[in-house]
Amino acid sequence: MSASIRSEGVSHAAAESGGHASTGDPLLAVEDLAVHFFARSGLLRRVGSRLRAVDGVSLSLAAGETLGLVGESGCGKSTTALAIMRLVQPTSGRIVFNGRDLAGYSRAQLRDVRRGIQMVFQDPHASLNPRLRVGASIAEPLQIHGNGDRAAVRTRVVELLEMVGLDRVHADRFPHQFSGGQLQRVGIARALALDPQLLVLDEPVSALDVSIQAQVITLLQDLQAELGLAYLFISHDLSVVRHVCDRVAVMYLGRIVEQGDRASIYRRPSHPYTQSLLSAVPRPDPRRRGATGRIVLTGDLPTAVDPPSGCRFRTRCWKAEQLCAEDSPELVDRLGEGTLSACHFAETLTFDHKL
Amino acid sequence: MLHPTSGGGEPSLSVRDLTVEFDTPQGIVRAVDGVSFDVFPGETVALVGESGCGKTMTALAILGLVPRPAGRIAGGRIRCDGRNLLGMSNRELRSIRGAVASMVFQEPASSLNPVFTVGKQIAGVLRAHDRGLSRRAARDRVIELLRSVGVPDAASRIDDYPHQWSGGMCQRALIAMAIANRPRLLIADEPTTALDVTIQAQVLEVLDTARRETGAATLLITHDLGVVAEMADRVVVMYAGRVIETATVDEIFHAPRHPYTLGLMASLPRLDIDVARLVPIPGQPPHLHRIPAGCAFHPRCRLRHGRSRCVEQSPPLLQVGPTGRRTACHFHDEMTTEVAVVTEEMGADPTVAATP
Repeated sequence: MSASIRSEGVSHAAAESGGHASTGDPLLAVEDLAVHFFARSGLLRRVGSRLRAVDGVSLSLAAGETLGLVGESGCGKSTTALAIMRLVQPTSGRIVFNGRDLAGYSRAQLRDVRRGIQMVFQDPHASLNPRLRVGASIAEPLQIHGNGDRAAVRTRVVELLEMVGLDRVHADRFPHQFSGGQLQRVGIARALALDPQLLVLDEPVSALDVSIQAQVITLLQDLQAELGLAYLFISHDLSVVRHVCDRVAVMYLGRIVEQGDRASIYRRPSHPYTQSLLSAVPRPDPRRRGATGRIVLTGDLPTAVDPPSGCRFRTRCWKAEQLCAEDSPELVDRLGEGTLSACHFAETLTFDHKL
Repeated sequence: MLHPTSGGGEPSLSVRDLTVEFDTPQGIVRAVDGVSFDVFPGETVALVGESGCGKTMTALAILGLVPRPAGRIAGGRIRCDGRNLLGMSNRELRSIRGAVASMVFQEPASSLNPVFTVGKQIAGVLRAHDRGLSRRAARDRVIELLRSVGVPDAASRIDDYPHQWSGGMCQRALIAMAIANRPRLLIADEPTTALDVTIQAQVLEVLDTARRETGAATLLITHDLGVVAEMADRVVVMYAGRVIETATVDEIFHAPRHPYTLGLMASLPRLDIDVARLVPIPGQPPHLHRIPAGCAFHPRCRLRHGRSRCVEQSPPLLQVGPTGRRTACHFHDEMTTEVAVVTEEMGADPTVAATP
């Protein structure tokens, strides 16, 4: 299934290693990353509390591969992205990109690294300067990194616009003159300006209507095939992630609860949270109504200021026992099938998506 | 599941030739242009389309909530529970809203008043339409309503303020408020769009239970085809202010008769089928002040093949086949072939997800 879903030649590295990125040196390796925020509250602002947005996340990504990071709002997936970009300061952990640990890098050192990693944000209206013509926005990274003279920059801007399906005339327009889909293309063009190896895509299609979303998804797939880019694809949409990713990591309350290749995660998930997520997605097929065996979770997401002891999912889990409150389950291969699962009682549940 | 063909009774909601216009700096635009549909008692009809297609404005028009003075209902008829809603005074409309027809909005947090407790707000809706209801009795009824939409510890949480509740819980409170007076028509505008998927599943279940228990006709406005397949009996697809296709949910998903409907399905990443490549609809939806001549969809249509009829004539919404389904496409009889072409490109048939 893994190979059949992707358009041809999209994920060379992943396809050759059977969907696992562990062969050779990964392009990006995040080890035990934590991002804690400190908030003061109370009348005199003397009560300090620690919000554990990301709490011990490890993941790796090979060149040319797409890793999906999925989870619901507040699970820490976007904070993980920002920490990898060093746009928020990691509290602890390592972020190894091309063999170099960025976690302790200074701003000056980071500038060089940022040629290699670029980010695309969810809301292109908010991430582009409204007073700059989009050509100037796309040229900005080129100028900061001193790539050539004005004419060369102009040529590169046009090349980038055409690469993302826009036209040279668009360079002289302002962001408000674009639709959401076109503006997301501009955001992608800007991210590609410095020939990065890795794009961190934070909900890149979530704000778009379905017809435009499909345009941007196919564009991202074509660019990956053409340029050999690796994607860290962050999304709450399980269908989109299934369509674009080679491997998937599922996050819950600051931790990864399950990680594996796409086929295993979607067909045979072993963590109860992954199972409930997959079962909850409404299928666009009226004949299967009510036939999906939906697992409806009780309750809401606990707060990351005071997460449950042991397994963080236990307060909403139908399998929880005493052990789950006492012992935090490690993310390890529990069933000998290559999928990492952070559940004491991991067992696969087969989702026969095709019937 | 009641269908107009099987039920045969009076519709709870009947919309005919509804037209809503807005004054803009670029001139008058038609946000809703000649929209007609019915919703029968106990039935769920989904109003589907992308941003700006007029689906939300249709709902607001039904409840007399078109923003003034820029907007106005320029024509058509709206009958709800046998009453003509157009031409009603504000006072009459107020007696309808919340009692005969009520609405659940997309943003639960911004639909509740932050300075009143959740319980007070629901009780207010009850007492607005039943002056004789005592505070005590209203409170008991609110607890009962909150329980019915699955709020745990309803008796103790009734005195909470909205900020103390999560998004999913607020949406439950709004559904409780909407069904408090057992309306004949429940309009839900993107009720789960702002919610996470596990919470979305809970809220859809609550909505469905509410519909079953009150027997209300439900008009569900959504862009999410998964939610449509899950909830709707019939589907009305809108594009650029018009209805372009209407059919039962099975017909829409398994044999779309308009290229835009098929385009939406071919754009959709799926959990349940292996799609090699999405087939997006090219271009952008039109601006309302620059709606293309003829068929508004023609600049983006794969089925047009350069034919001039699509530019010259606006296709009427005509009945196709014996089941009462309608489509507004000159070349709808070519859709079977078109589905096959798209299937070839996608490496999967978007219209036949599972063999039953």
